[in-house]
Parts: sequence; structure tokens; C-alpha cells
Amino acid sequence: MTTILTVTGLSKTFTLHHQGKAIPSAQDASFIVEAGRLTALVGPSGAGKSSVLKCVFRTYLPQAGSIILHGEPDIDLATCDEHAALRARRRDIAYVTQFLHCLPRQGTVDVVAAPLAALGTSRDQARAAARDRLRELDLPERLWDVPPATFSGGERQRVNLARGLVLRPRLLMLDEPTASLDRRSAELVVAAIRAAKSAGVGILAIFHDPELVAALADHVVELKRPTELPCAA
Amino acid sequence: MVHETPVLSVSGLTRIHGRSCPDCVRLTGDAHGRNVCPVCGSVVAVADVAFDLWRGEILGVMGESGSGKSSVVKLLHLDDRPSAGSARFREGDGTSHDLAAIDEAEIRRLRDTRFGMVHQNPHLGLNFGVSAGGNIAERLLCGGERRFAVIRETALGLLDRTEVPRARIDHQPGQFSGGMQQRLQIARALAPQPELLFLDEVTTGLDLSVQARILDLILEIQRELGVAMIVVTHDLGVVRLLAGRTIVLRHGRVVEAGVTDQILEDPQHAYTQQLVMSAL
Repeated sequence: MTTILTVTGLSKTFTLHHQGKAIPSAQDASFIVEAGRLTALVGPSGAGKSSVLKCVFRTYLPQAGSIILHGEPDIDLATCDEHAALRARRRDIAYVTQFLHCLPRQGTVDVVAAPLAALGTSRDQARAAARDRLRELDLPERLWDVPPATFSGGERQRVNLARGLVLRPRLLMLDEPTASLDRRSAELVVAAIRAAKSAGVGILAIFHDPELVAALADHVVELKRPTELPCAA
Repeated sequence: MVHETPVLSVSGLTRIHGRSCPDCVRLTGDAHGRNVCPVCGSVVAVADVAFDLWRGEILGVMGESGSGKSSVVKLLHLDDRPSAGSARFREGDGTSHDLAAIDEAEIRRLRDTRFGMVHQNPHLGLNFGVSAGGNIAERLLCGGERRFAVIRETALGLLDRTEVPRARIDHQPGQFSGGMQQRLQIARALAPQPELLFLDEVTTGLDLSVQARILDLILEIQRELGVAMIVVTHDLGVVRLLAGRTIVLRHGRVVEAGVTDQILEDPQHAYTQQLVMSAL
């Protein structure tokens, strides 16, 4: 089994200079993600699950630990230069958050096609791949040319996932991909996750539903709330 | 799209206004909270600035008024010369120049044909005494183009690209709206097919809908032409939308550099945290 990501001793603390405060988040997290397997991060709210994903995506800078994305060569996303981190984002890592951030004036097909377009794929090819992903996720075709701003939560989440899968990443990160979805939408998302696993994508995911963890996870990593409690937020 | 070759490599870039002394750099900067040398009174506008820019990449430069962001752009656009440091510019054909050490003839050539500049104030970037088409033609003439038909066709193509109606080609910029003046500035800047584009607060003061169109246009230019850009702004929304990487300047120094969403969501430096917290 090919290991895609090895995280060792990852700790994240936020230092707020103006308030003279340090707010601990994830502490000493270690795990791996393998090709075609799903690693689930579980633990109470405030344990730093989302922070771990953001550290892997280089949106957060960790205070300790290493985040090795295996490849030729391996890179440590905790310390590599920004160009290397952005290259990994373009080619290897897709990150599907709970919220879809996109331009309010861009049609859905172009939102989904964007990661491919950024790699230099022609507009027509990128849009064709985007349509395939949207079809797989059963998003009604009448919505494809409309910006996702007016979509329901379920539709929006499927657009988000379609964008995450459009470039067939090596590593897919999901932050509660079925949160607030009705049953039918959740089933479509679960089917897409299974399909991605079969296609060899390594997945690092946060689920709020223990049944989904049981159904989809190959590795379960439990994060504990940091000992020094974050301020009541 | 980004190509993984540097178009610009800046290191140790420094600009001191005044007679300067050996202590200027050591006694100014973030740690001292000032950019005026306490010994000789010189102003350290820029000190030890270093970064790389890749072909097709957009770099954000953030900081408040007086942080040195416009000074950096002036040095790189060859409007001003540095006191120390180097800035290596590599042309597409492989030739490379240290912008800190080139002669006047090369400065003119690079500014006329390899660089483009878009100012916040259209009066600085456009010639209000000639037509829209004339503004584009001026840049092409500076680049050595003399064929009228080529100039006219190129001008029309650029007006199309920047969504300035063709029918306005013979109108003077003074008859244009603010948003259209900015789009014409971009058309003029793009005329010689530059490799490096500087955008200095180009959406500041425009209506939101007009801003959105300009920002879309900039992204489209990056996508289709692969021009590297340096975007100077104090608007966090602009860097979030445009820039893959961002540097934050204060007292003429880079106090933080990183992937743009890291700068905005997990700022490390006290000053960046303050900037991000001040956003609406």
C-alpha cells in the first residue's frame, strides 16, 4: 500500500500578539494516509481536527511536527517554501471545506473546472471534466451554468466535492462533507467518496457522524482536546 | 497559469533617501518602530527586501501607507534606483539583467517593452491629451512598431480584451468613466506584451461592481497571457482573490511572507494580525 502522507507530532497553537494569548489547538497528532484508503480524524469539538487539515493545506503553520507529502521528492508541508506548497496544491491535494468559497459571478461548471484550468488544461477539456463530476454527483443539469450562490446546502456541497475531485488528486481532504445534508444528498456524497477510494485517492476526512466513520474509514485517529482549554468560544 | 521558472529574483533591495550613514539600516525597521535613521536623519524607504516571482504568478504586496510598498514597485519598475541590493529580471528568451545595475538605454527598453504599470490614478498611467487608441499606439511606437495597420489592429484587440467598446477608440480618456479609464490603462500596459505587470492599488476608490470587473479582467489576463504580476494593495479581499503568495511590508521591511490564505487566516506577525483584524 502506497503511503501518501505521513504526519508526525503535529502541534498547532495560535499566538495572539495583541492580547498576549496563546490558544492551543491540535496537539501531537500523528497518522498516515494511504492511497485508496480513508483516514478519519475524530475527537471532541475544539480538539483541532480542522486545524490539522489546514496545516496540511498550509493555510496554518504548525509549531511542531512534520507533514510529509510523499513523492519525488518528499516535501514537508510544515516547512517547505511557499512555491512547493502551492505546487502541491495545484497537483496533489484537494481540500473540500464545509463552505464553498467562490466568486459570486462564476457559473458552476467554471467553479468546478477551476483547478484544472489553473494547471493549464484547455477551457473545453476542463469544462468537460467538470460536467462529468457534476453528473456523477447528480447535480441537476439546469444548475450547471448558474453560480452556486443560490443553491441549497446539499447542492452546494456536491459542487464543492466535484471541484475537489476534478483533478483526481492524490490526497483529498474533507471537512464534514455531509454536514447539513439530507439523506439523498448524503448518500450521493458517500458514493462519490467510495468511488474516489476505488480510484486510488487517499482521503483524510472529518465526519460528525460515527456511522460514516464506521462505514468509510480504514484508519481512525482520535484527537484529544488540548489540556490547556481554549477560551470559551 | 504558473510556470516554475523565476521571472524576478530580488535580494537585499534597499533604498535610502538622504546622505545615509553606516547605522541607517541597523537602527530602523520593525524592531525599532521607525524608518528614519536617528543618527543621520535619512529615510530608509526599503531595506533588505527579498522575494522570487515566477512566470505567470501573482504576488501580493500588503502594508499601510508609508510601509514602502510603492517604493518597492518604483525600484522594480525602474522609476527609482536602489541604494543597495539586486533584482534579477529574466526575459522569456533567457537573457537576464540585474535591474540595480543596468544602463539608461536598457532601462528604457525594459520599461517600454517588457514591463507594464497600472497606477491607482489614471492620470499617471494615461496620456489625457490623446485618444484611447493613441494611448495604446504610444506604447507600441515606443516598442518600435511603425506599421499603422498593425497598431490599429493591436489597439482594437486590446480594447476588446479589456471590454472598452471599439466605438470609443477615438475618444479621449477624460470622457471615460473611472472603471473604463482603469481598463484602458490595463490595455495600454499590455500593448507591448510585457512579461511583468505592476498593479498599484488599481481598484482603490472604484465602485464594487466596477472593482469586480477589473479583478476578473486581471485574473483572465493571468490565465490567458501568463504575465507575472506584482499587486500592491491594502485591500485584503484583493490579495485573497488575486495573489497566490503575499508579502507584508512595514517600515520598509518584509515582516511576513507566505501563501496568501496563511497570511490572512494564520498571520504570524503582530502587525499582520492587526491588519487582518482591522478588515471589515
